[in-house]
Amino acid sequence: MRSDLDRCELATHWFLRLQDSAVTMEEIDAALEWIDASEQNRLAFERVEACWHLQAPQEMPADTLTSRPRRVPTYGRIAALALLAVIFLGLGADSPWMPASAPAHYATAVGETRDIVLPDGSRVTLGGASDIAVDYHPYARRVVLVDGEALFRVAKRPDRPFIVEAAGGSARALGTTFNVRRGAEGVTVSVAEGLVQVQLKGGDDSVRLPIGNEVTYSQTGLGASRTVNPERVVGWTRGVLTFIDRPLVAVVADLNRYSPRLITIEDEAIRSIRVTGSVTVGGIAEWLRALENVLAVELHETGGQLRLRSPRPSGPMHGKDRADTA
Amino acid sequence: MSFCCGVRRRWLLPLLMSIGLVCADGGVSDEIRFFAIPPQSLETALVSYAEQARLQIIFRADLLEGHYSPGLNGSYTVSAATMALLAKTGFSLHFVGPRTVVVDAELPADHR
Repeated sequence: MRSDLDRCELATHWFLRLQDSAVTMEEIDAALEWIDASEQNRLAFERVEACWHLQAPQEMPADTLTSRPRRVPTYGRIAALALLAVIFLGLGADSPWMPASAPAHYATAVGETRDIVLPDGSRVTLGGASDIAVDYHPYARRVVLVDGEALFRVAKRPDRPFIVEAAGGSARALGTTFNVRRGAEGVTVSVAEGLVQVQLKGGDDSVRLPIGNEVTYSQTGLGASRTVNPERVVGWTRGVLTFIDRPLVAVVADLNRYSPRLITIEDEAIRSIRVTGSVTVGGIAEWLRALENVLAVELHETGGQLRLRSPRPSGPMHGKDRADTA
Repeated sequence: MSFCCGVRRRWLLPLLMSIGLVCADGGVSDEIRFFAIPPQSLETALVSYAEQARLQIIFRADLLEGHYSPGLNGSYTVSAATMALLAKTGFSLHFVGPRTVVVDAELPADHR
């Protein structure tokens, strides 16, 4: 009984922390860790949540996407929760709330994009060669971007943060449209609508990104945020990839998620050349050929590959190479 | 890969088009599109132009550094939009593929 009471207090504590808009990533992690630690913890947490919702009958049903301001004063709720937390110990274990579903995995092949509707109505467009794991709980919506790029159109649920984790950092939103991309420069979070908080794990570094802003983070930390055209953030879902002042190596890495032929850069010297441009997924080879007019590079189309390299000095061996670009 | 007759020759193109000559790019220059390009750097303005004209574009990121564009709003043929955006900038576009353009720095007049 003693441990049940402790569990109940902890469940209430974590539940209230997750309701707080100032909750940190570390707290969310700790909360999820505690909830996942045992079946009893999870049930206790779900009961606290159930009580919270039962206390607010005027709120929208759990499955409704639109948000509505809370009308019950918070302190009244906390008092009610404290009371209910004691009461529900005597209740049966059959909670009316859906148990947390097992994490779902979605992946795309090179050149494939895919629209996915998540259980709360949030929509994800998964880019080419991309991979996400969706870990939905009644109290937090958590997505891990394992590889590639994804655009999130998040259904508004003020009581349930939407968190996308990628390589040592995370983006947290309540209801918004934003894109997360893993690439050669690190992880880039771009906001097409609303507000997103980007935070690095285990550090104090965080930034709030409003609409039309993006930021890149990597092992070297969180970069400076910069402006981005919100329409361009969603452009790739229509098959248009845009690069503003990006190193060729990063451009090629992104293109390789769509190009049927593998693109490689053979010379270190041209990897860091910065380019700006816009390309359709069906016109990648044509666009790369245009590179020859813009940079000192040659495109060699051989063996099912597109190889970019610095021009070789003219010589007897050169004629053969030229033939395959003609 | 056919090369366009040239947005490069700014004076010639309106004349050619007015007497019904079609550009060697297969008519892309004559397509009418709606352009909504707010004032911004010339670099991103040209990317918006390409997106809205449904063209591909590529150039060196440092090529247009420090250049700004007043933008463009309304329905234009692709070639008219090109001219409106690039007039007096010292830059021009030219086709290097059926739907791909690159940006060139024009040589000063005395070097032509």
